Formats: sequence, C-alpha cells, structure tokens
Amino acid sequence: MNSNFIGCFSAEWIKKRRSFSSWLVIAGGLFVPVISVIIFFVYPKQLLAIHASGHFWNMLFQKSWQMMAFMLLPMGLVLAVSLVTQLEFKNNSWKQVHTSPVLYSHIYFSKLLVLLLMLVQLFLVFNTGIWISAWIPSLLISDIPYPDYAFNYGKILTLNAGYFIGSLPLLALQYMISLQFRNFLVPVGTGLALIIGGMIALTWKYIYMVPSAYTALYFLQSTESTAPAHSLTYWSLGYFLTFTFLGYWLYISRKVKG
Amino acid sequence: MFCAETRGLSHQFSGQPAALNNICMQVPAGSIYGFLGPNGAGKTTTLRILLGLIKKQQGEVFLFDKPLHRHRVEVLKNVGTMIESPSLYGHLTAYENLLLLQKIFKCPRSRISEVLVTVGLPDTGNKKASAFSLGMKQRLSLAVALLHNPKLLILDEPTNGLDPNGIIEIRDLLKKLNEQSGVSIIISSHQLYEVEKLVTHIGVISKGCMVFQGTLENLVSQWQQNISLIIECSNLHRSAEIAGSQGIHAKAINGRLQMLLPEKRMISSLNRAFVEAGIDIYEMKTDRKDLESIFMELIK
Ligand SMILES: Nc1ncnc2c1ncn2[C@@H]1O[C@H](COP(=O)(O)OP(=O)(O)OP(=O)(O)O)[C@@H](O)[C@H]1O
Ligand SMILES: [Mg+2]
Repeated sequence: MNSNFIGCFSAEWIKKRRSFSSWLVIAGGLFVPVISVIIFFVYPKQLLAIHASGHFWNMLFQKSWQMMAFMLLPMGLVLAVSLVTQLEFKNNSWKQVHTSPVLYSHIYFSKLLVLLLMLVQLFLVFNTGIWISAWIPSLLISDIPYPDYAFNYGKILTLNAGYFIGSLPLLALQYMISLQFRNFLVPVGTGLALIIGGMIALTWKYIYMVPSAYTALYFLQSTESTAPAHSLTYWSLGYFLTFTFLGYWLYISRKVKG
Repeated sequence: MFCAETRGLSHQFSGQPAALNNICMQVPAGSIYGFLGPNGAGKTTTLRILLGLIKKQQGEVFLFDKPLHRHRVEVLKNVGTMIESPSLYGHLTAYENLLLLQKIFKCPRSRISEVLVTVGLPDTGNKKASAFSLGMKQRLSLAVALLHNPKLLILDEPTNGLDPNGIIEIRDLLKKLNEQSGVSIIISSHQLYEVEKLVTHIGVISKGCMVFQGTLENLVSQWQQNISLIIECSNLHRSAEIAGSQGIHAKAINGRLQMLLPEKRMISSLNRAFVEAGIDIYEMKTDRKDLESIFMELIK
C-alpha cells in the first residue's frame, strides 16, 4: 500500500475515536450476549438444555446469531455507516477533507476500509460476547457447569465469514447513499425500509436478489441441511463490488465537494 | 508570478442569477491580498472554486501557475485553508484534530504543539472541540491551516467571532508569517478597515463582479483623479463666468459651484478674482474621499 493511502487511512481512523459509531460497534456486539445472560439467569433451564444437547457451542452460536442476523446486524450496519459519513457533514469538514492533498480515491477507499474494519471489530466483540454469555452464568449459578467443550474454530470461522460476506452489500449500498445526502434521515430511512422490506419478503422466490436480507438468508441456510439453491456468496460479492464502484463514481462526480 | 490566479471565472448556481461574472483574480506571490465585498458578493464562492470545492463551470484556475484540475494534490500540499464556518471534528480534542492532518501531511509531530502555541491555544487538554467557544474554534481552524507550513494561506473571514485582542493578535501573526516566511495570504472580509493595515493588495468584488483589483495606493490615486472643488458663494452665475474666464469649466450643482480640482495656484487666483468681483465666499471644499468611502462607493 502506498504511504499516502496509509496517511489518509490513519486520519480516518483517528476520526472514529470516541465517535458514536465506535460505541455502536461495542454496544451492538454486546447487546445479544447481554440479553442471553439475562435470559439464562431468569430461565437457567434454557442454558442447561444447551449444555445437555451435546453440541454446546453450535447451539449457543446459532441462538445468538439468530437474533443478530435478522435485525440487529443489518440495522447496526445502516446506522454505523451513516454515522461515519455523517461526521463530515455534521462538522462541515468535507471542505477540509477535500482541500487536503489526497486523492479522492484514497479518501473514498480509506473510509470504506475503516467501515470494513469496524465490521471485523463488531464480529470480534460479538464472538467474545457469546463465549462470555456462557461463562458468566457458570460462575454465578451453581447448577451450571463451566463451558468446557471442544471449540471447532474452523466451523465458527466459516460461520462468521458467511455473515461477514452477507453484510458487505448492505454496507457498500449504505456507504454509497450516505455519501450523497447531508440529511442523516435519508440514508437511515432508506436502509431501514430496505431491511423491513427484506424481512417481509423473506419467503419470496426472488429474495436472493435483495441484498438487505442476506444475513437473515444466511442464517436460514446455515440451519438447513439441504444445499442452498443460490450462492449467497457470489451474489453478495457481486453486489458489494457493484455498489462500491458505483458509489465511487457518484462520489467523484459530485459537483459540490464542501 | 501569481500564487493564485483565476481567468474569466463565471459561475451560476442552478436556477439562480450568475453568482460570479468573469472574475480575474490575480494574487502576486508574497502579497497579502484582501478580498473584499459585501454579503453575498461571491467571495466564498470564488475561494471554493479556487480550491476545487465547487466544480468550475467557466474559466480557469491556477495555483502556483499550475492548472488546478490537473495538479490538485500536488499544489494543495502548499496551501492552508480556512473556508467559512470552522470544519473541526467536535468529538475530538484540539490535538487530535491536528493529529489526523499531521498523518496526511507527514510533518513532524512537534508541529502540532507549535501551531497550538502560535494561535494561542496551548492548553485545552482533553476539552473537545465541540465545547470550544466560537473564537477558540476559529483559532483552532487557523492552526489547522498553518500546520504544514503552507506557502499560501486562503482564509475566508478568519477574524469572525474573535475578540478585539484576538483580531489584533491574528493580524500580527499573519503579518509576521508574510514578512518572515514569505507566506502569501488571501484574506476575505466585508470591511476594508479590518484588513486595511494588513494587506498589500486588494480585490473588491460586488454582485459577482470584480470592481477593483490592485494595491491600496492604486485605488486611492485612481479616485484622486476626479476630485471636485465645491464652492458656496453669494453669486453663482457671476462666479461661474469668472471661473470660465480663467479657463476653468464650472457647473452649478445644488446651488453650489462645482469644478474638477484645479492646481493650487489656480485656486488662489480664482479666490482673488471672486473677492475683487465682490462675491462673498461662504465655503470652499473638496470631495476628496477617504479609503472607506471609496470602498463604499465601489460596492454600491
Ligand atoms: N450552494 C449554493 N446554492 C445556491 N446559491 C448559492 C450557494 N452558495 C452561494 N450561493 C449564492 O451565491 C452568491 C454568492 O455567495 P457567497 O457565499 O460567495 O457570498 P460571500 O461574498 O461569501 O458572502 P458573505 O460575506 O456573506 O460570506 C449569493 O447570492 C448566494 O446566495
Ligand atoms: Mg462568505
């Protein structure tokens, strides 16, 4: 990577410090685990059932991802992406960004890279959170054993990779829209409408073409034993590349840059 | 050599009358260029086009003699800017706001505390920029513009929101930068008196047209060329005749005699002739204008 890009990226990374979107990554990642812990305290039987199942981690991850994949992850994506670009609009700082000696492509792709890394952070927090949600009850409730089961890293990694790739189209689409509008409500409103539309149409036969439903579809696929009819991975990557480059083109074609 | 130049710059925002009309701005290297005009004259629009923030529609823009659209990144390395409202990240501290630019410009980190001292914000510590007063934000914006030791500073109303001491401080700072480091400066303002003591050149813009450009002395001498002498006396008709007989073309305007200011020698002989003809003189004055009223006249 060229050193100008690294400079530009470091600047973008600093902007994220203490911003609302960086809190959102942590809160979003811990939300489901915290809910799980509360549920396990109120209904310890549920956790005991998972312990008794013989596929402890598998079941716990499925349960946790279920809540995440349908609503939280797509909504978090919409919010966090819009917040990152909103930072420039809100602070009137596009003019500062665009009078710095950096290529427009560096600006666009370093912001995108920040968003991707935030997504990785979210996944790390979430996975750690899932483990903690099994561990804390074992400490405090005497009946519940320590989750001392073999951890299939390969499987967990594949699961995460699937959700990650499934998140990319919505991330890029949201990035594209939110760069175009000063008004925060436009990207957020569009994003939420797409997610809700996707949920409603989940059984539609062309749902595999609706990118806002991909994380939910991935969850459904991962629980079925039959092989999926359409490759979500290819569709996701295709959409991701399309939105990314369309977004870039729209971004550099803006007549007013601050 | 010009450090900033526009040729035939015209601009129109969609659905509105032209905001800029054939602006030819020429900022000599090493100068302090006051860019003056009333609200809505087109100062900010010109500066935004000069920096590539608005896509230019007609005309050409050069920075350091290079066309902006082909050398944008290269020329911007030597430009420090502050356009209109402060553009600071409210959730970051003063230091962090500068740190992120230090990453881009790759200047030494020590510059950050240096410029903070320069603009008079040495110890804001953990305070976030959103909690700054307007004047503090303005100072921090100036620090942002100065961080990488630019050769050209483009400042759009930098003293907006500063206290009187702050204004003097900033003015002295700019003067020092110009004299000691040869930094060229474009500074916009509504008021001539604000920048009069600072600038070497001015450009006056009114309703999207450049109505004057040059040095302050140019401006004054240009207006000095047609100063009138105005005389109030007891016999308008007779006095005009006397003036005519001395070869001076005088007109009666508003009950007073008015003529182009003659040489001093001519004034005294004219005066003598009036007295000899028994005409009483009540008042004799010129309409010589001070800089401020020349300016007001220009932007009318
Ligand atoms: N984004 C925009 N859309 C439409 N018209 C605009 C826009 N920006 C500026 N204008 C118009 O262009 C003209 C010049 O505005 P500009 O901001 O350049 O004035 P200015 O000289 O900087 O004024 P001020 O001293 O108030 O800052 C004004 O008539 C303004 O209404
Ligand atoms: Mg302005």
